[in-house]
Amino acid sequence: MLKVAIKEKEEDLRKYKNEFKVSSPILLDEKAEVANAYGIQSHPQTFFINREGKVVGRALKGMDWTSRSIRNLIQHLLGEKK
Amino acid sequence: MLTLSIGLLGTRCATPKEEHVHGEASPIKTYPKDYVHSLTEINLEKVIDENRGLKVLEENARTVHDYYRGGVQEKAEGERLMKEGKWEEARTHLEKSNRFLQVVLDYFPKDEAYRNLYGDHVVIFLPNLLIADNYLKVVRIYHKLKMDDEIYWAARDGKKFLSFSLRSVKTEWGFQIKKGFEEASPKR
Repeated sequence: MLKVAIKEKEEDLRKYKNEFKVSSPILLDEKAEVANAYGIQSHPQTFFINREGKVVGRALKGMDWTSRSIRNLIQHLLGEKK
Repeated sequence: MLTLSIGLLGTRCATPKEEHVHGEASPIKTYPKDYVHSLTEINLEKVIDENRGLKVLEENARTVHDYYRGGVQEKAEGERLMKEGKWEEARTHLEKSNRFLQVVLDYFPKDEAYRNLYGDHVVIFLPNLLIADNYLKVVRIYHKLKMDDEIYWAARDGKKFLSFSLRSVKTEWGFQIKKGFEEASPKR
């Protein structure tokens, strides 16, 4: 899982990672290039990208990643044939 | 599978000091719940006129008012470029407008026909509607660029913000946008 922060300061990101004990990498999109490439107009947004690099799902708001529905969705997507 | 979460921190900004700067807010006219504001009363030109002035840069925006003005200014630029047929450039500005306005919604999620946004200055305050209108324009751009796969998502997002807007304030402009989405977006 990759997190991308749009136009944030590196220092703020470090504080955020420490404060919320985030272990996964956070990428810094300094010029909002990733945001533009994905057509981000509101945030947060989450994209699910399959093995072929194709966007197969998109969430338009903050998600509860521990919820059953999200677990089921991820398991379903992981179960896609190679 | 890769999960890409974009924009997790959000942008923080200062809230307006309207209650403190002048002691009391300007009187704002209230309307019955189902009052529909006509196009002559509330329209894009008026919103753009109210937010003209020194260009707001993203890195300099601090207050909700800055973000609202920045959102409107970027929208105005996007609209201008659309008239010139510069679709990609227009899209970039409309998307930037939506990012500005999204910050506004973090603080004031509801549209209001008139809001005292800073000092004693009352403005037409429709961030949800402006975002919806931006999405409608983006849908039209996708049509022009034959980016059919994107149309569904942009229309879906736009309709969501339009419903938020119409829930708070009924405007003829909003109903026009609704019609625009019905005409422009395919059903899945």
